[in-house]
Amino acid sequence: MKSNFRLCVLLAFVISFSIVSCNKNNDPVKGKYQSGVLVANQGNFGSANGDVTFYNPTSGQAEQTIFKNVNGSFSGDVLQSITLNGDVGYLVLNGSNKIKIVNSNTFTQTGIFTDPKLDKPQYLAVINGKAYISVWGAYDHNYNLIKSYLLVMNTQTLQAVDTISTDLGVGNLLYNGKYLFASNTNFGSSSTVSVIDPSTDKRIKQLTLSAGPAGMVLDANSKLWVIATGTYGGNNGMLYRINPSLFAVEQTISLGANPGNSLCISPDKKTLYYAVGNKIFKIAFDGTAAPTSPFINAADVVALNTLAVNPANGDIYVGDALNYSSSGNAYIYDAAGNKKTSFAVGITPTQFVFQ
Amino acid sequence: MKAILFLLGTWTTTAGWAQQNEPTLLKPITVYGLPEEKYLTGSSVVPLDSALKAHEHSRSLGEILAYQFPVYFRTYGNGMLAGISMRGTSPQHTAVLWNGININSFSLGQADFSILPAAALDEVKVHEGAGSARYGSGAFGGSVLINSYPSSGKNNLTLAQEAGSFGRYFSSATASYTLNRWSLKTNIYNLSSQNNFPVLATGERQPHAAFRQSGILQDIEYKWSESKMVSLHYWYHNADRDIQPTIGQQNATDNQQDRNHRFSIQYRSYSRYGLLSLTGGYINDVIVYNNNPGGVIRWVSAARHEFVWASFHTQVRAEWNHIIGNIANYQNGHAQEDRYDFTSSIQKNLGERLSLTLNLRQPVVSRFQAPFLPYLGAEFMLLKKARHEIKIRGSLSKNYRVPTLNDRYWQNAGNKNLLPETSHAAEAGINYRLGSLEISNTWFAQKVDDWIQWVPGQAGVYRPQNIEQVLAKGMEVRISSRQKINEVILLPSFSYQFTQSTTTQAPASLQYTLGKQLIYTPQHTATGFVQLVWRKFSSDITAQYNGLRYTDLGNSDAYALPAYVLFNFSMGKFWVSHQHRFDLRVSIKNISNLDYQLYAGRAMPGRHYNLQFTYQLTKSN
Repeated sequence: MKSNFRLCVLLAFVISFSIVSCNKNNDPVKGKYQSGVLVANQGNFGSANGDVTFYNPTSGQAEQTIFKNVNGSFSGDVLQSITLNGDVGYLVLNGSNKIKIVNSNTFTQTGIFTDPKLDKPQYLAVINGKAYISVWGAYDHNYNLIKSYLLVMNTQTLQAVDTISTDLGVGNLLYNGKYLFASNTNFGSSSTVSVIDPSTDKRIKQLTLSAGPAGMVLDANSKLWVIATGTYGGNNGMLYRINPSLFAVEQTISLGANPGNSLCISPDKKTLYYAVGNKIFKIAFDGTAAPTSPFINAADVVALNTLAVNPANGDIYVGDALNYSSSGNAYIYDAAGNKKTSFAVGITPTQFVFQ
Repeated sequence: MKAILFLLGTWTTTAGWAQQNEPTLLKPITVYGLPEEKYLTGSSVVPLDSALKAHEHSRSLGEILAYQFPVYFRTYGNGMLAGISMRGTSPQHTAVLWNGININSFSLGQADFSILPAAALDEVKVHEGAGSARYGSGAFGGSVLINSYPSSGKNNLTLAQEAGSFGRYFSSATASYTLNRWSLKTNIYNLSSQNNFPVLATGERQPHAAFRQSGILQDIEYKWSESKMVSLHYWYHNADRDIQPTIGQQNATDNQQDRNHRFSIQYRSYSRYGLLSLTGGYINDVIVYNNNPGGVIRWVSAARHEFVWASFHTQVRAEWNHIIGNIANYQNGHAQEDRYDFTSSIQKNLGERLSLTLNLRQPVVSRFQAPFLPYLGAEFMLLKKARHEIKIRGSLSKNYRVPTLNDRYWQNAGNKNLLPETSHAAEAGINYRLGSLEISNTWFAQKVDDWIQWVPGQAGVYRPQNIEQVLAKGMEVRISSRQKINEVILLPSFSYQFTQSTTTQAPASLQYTLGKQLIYTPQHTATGFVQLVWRKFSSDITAQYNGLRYTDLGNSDAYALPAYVLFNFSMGKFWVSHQHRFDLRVSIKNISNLDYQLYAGRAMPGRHYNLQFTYQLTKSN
């Protein structure tokens, strides 16, 4: 018995040593969270319990509320999105009107950005040392949105340096290496995508599509795809393929439904995915019409809130918000549409980030 | 007058001891017929300790009750919205009655206990447990009964001034005057607070949480004769609050103003046929949220007759509520409905030891068949000696709650055909008294059907549905005593409640909530206080404990709020000179400087202080 125990200890030591040395040789350990899937969980609106779930696809283990585990309290109210830029992570807190900056490998908080103009921030994109933050903005006393804009922050000084006006209800951001595209959704009341030239920080164009432009991706031909969610109950969602240099719509696909905000693409950038309710559809990058039947019918999912594709292996990740006020679930399907596994996440999962 | 004396005589013999633990009740009050608790045999109606209430003169009921009753308040920050949870139910399941009129918000269904200031309330009693048959819609977890008493028979002027931490100032003046057949009382108060307390979690000052509350009360009573009188009560309360944002939130701008007009006029007449009372009421609740006003107006009229027939004490009552909702989010910004209630209550003593009551109510509400609501209660005195009493008691009841106006009329979400929630409740208990030591133990269970829940449907739009069944069961212990050691009077009191309140039926999309404890419903709740009186000095320590509270329906530990215990201390002295009395009191709140939350993400202040000065001029008639 005793010798068995000793053997076990020795084995464990050898194994752990070999793992450590292996890591040391190939990939220096920068932190517990350097490799895996981050899930942004909004938390309960008004309860300041937005936080991040870390999922390790290799071990299948999920760790909840990692920001709290490292820093002592939840990240803040309504964690809308996470943007990674090298070893820096930006947590966009829509309710707290804050950006919290962390080391993306350890999740230790390294800074906070606040500004009187930071009112309901949505997403963040980092371009040449500047962070472009989409800001929903304030409502007037009749609940009309006054104006939305991008707030530009210097990532070194954490000071606001500029604002760039957009259309109302700005949300998703995509940088294609030349221009920054910002989709203006406003719950289906706006129909535009603003185009910003980061070299001048000016809006150079505003593309008019149809109601509710939301998620955006670039395909294998570097074309910009935009999903428009349509008007409430209007079943008039659309997909647009846009030439990002000429700003011309090359393909319009009517979806005959109100899809969710998420638009994602396979690792080879040749297949797009979107969701309507808990049904996931796919369409080829040279497709011309919407598929009539879903690729995956995610029957287990109560409230599909976000959809993403792991760029490493093409796995499809689905975030289930349940009733938006309970800890939700994430489901993983392989590229063939077979369910692989699921794991627990926090309240209202809203984005998957792969690192 | 004969009638009053007669009624007094019959209840003092059987009901007297129930109040002995509350020395404060011994102050003279006028009794018109049987006291409320006699019609709720089998459960308990406990008054708020009036000494402690006086010490907390500038505080709201939401800040006081949780130190005397095993109840929980989900409070959205210091001085902010406070919803009560009694016996494992939600804030919509406690009815607050002001002079017999339900003053819960009819749009939200719940009462905001942060805008019910002690300074405006003459008498507060708490009925724990289900009592819809007597108190109407929503009385599942309990009822809070607030009554005005126009006159004490003396001419009185009271001035109070308080100053406290975080720029908190309170002033009030009360004058009561009796002349011949007229009794008048006027009460005005004003509370303001910068409320910029240091947030313990961040070390920063709490931004955007300043508030002001003020109000006026006017009571007028006119006695035609010993047997006929008219009384009029008017209460206007105005609250203006910057809504305290979540911890760490920047750029907050939300503001809420509450304006509540409450008016009631009552005519009472005694004759050999009994006691007749006619009540008219007008309630106008306005909430102005970010400059958008919305309100509910109610006209209430009620007639009640109370009489004794063959030693059956009987009350019959009819009530009509005309409700007008003027809220922009309703279809056409308007909703209107009428509700009628017909009730009768019967109390009967069988011999010296057994007391029985039966309450029956038939509500009539538009668009659904309202259930018939009975309450049957019994008490039996097992042992009755001078220093030693044992009483067993129990009750069975059916209860209901009408969906709120929001549930019924909210544009694109409300459902006019929602069913009322109904509950079946049972409780049993034992009271034991040895000298001044009183111990009571109560076991309760309540099953609520058609529990209304707003659930997200298509495109994340929330709609209310009758989808759940909830079972709330538990046990409560209360211990109180009064000890006199030489010149020192000690008044200790303790309560503890264990409550399991779980979802027992849910639709397919909410299966994960089955067997889970309701949110913001601690399993363990305890309160305790000790009052010490020595000559003209008095001092008290009050405490409240709440166990772990889940904040999500799935009972995730990651989001739960941890257990906490809070302590307050106060010390005071009074001086009397002729007709003048001066009181000075110092209070320390949250002595241990504990960082705690009553609602997730809303900071509460650490240790803070309050200084209270009261002057009273009394002149006997």
